[in-house]
Amino acid sequence: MSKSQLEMSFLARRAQCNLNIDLVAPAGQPVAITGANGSGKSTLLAVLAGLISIESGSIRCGERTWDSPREDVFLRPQHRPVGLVFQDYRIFDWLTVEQNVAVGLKRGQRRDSATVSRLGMLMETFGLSDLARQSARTLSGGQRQRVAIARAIAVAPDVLLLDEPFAALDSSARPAVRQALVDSLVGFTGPVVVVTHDRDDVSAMSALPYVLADGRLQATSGSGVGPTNYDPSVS
Amino acid sequence: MGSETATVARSSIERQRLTSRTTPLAIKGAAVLGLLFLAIPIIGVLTKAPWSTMPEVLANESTRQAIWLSLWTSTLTTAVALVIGIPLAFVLARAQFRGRALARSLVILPLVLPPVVGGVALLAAFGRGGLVGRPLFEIGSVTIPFTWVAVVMAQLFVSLPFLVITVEGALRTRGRDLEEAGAVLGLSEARIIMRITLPMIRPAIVAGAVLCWARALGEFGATITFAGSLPGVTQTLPTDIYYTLARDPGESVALSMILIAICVLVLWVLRGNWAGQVIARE
Repeated sequence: MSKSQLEMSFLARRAQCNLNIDLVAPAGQPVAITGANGSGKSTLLAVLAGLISIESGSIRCGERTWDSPREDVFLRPQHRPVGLVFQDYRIFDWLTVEQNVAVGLKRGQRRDSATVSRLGMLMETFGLSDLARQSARTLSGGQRQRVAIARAIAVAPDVLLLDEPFAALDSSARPAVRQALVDSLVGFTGPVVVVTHDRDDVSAMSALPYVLADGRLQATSGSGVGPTNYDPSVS
Repeated sequence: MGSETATVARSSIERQRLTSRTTPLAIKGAAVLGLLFLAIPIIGVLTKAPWSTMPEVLANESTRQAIWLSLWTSTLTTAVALVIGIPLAFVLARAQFRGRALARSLVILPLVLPPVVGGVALLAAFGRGGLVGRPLFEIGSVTIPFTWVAVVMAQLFVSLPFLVITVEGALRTRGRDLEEAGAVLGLSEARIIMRITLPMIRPAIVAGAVLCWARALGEFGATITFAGSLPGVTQTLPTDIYYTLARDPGESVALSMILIAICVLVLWVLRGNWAGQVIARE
């Protein structure tokens, strides 16, 4: 299990914020990250997905190095086994719901019966079966969010990154979708990093809570896998 | 007392809102003037239309040739513009390279250049004694001016910028968010272009193609300079109209009616698409 954990220790510079991150996201237990607007939570996920490269340090997943300037290694997003749910969904409006969910699958996979049935179950879990052939253009915000989550999971990633995955849902719809996510993660043994503002998300996913402030991560409660740069004087 | 002033304040705000919602008379007047200026020439053509001789003009062999030549050359021009214009828009919008400002200026130049100057420039470059035309003629005995190739080249020179500018603008405003999502989903660069970028900017491609086609259909200055007006070979509707005007004004009005009809027909066919959005924009 530890072979697929996500280890990061890096410096990344952006116009708005510099990130100085030290974190081990264990396999099997999600890491939840909170933090003020503009603290760099989305940037952190973009760095992990390979949309932004780091300046120094390294990001490794199990045996594989994803990004390490010193070793001259940089895996492009296409080559990282990552599922990312963007905060703004980024749904492809010109495709149907079904096509959106399946867009990341290879041509051969889409004809594979095991994949087809897994996809069907995924659509069912997120309540998308009835919308399957509908144009994504017609979806509401909440429906878009569900499509975004299902689409990220559909590619069967090793690492799942979720940016405020329930933000567009009103409080009554939230528990059901959250449960759908927890259900579809049963048997998922890889690292999960979720950005959220909702304490209920953290407890429902039994996640390790961290706060991102001034570009650094701090564990917010005692846990075995704390950040190495934890400073008790800052709280 | 306090509540009274509050009421007064609120009602004055409401009045302000009301007046800002009604358009001032001067603006309305100027708008009507503008609309009339555009409408009167069209109405003028209609009043001069020789309805009785229309079938005769339409049956005329040279008219049919001009209509046909105009339609297929402008369509071919648009096809070529799509093939070379979309990649050009990509490079201008996305690539970082020295001389990008110069490249963009070159793309915009035909928009501000008088078409007749474009025709002279094409003749200077591709004419038998020109920069490219001389080797073409001496080595391959190829002559471009006053052929249908020259018609298409003249149209392309003036209409390509419309497509490039429209598509480039869409690429800039849409940003790379959706393409990033595709990359994280594992799509190769080629599949990102085919499945994400091109569908994403489809409305702009259609709009650019329509503008390009319309500009090509109406091209006159560069065409007559570089391709001439040889009936059946390089005589398009616009050049036909010009030469007919001196000989038979009635017939030239009839030919103009044909061009107007073609354009109205295209607007109508595309009403669900870009043109429809422009016409019915709220």
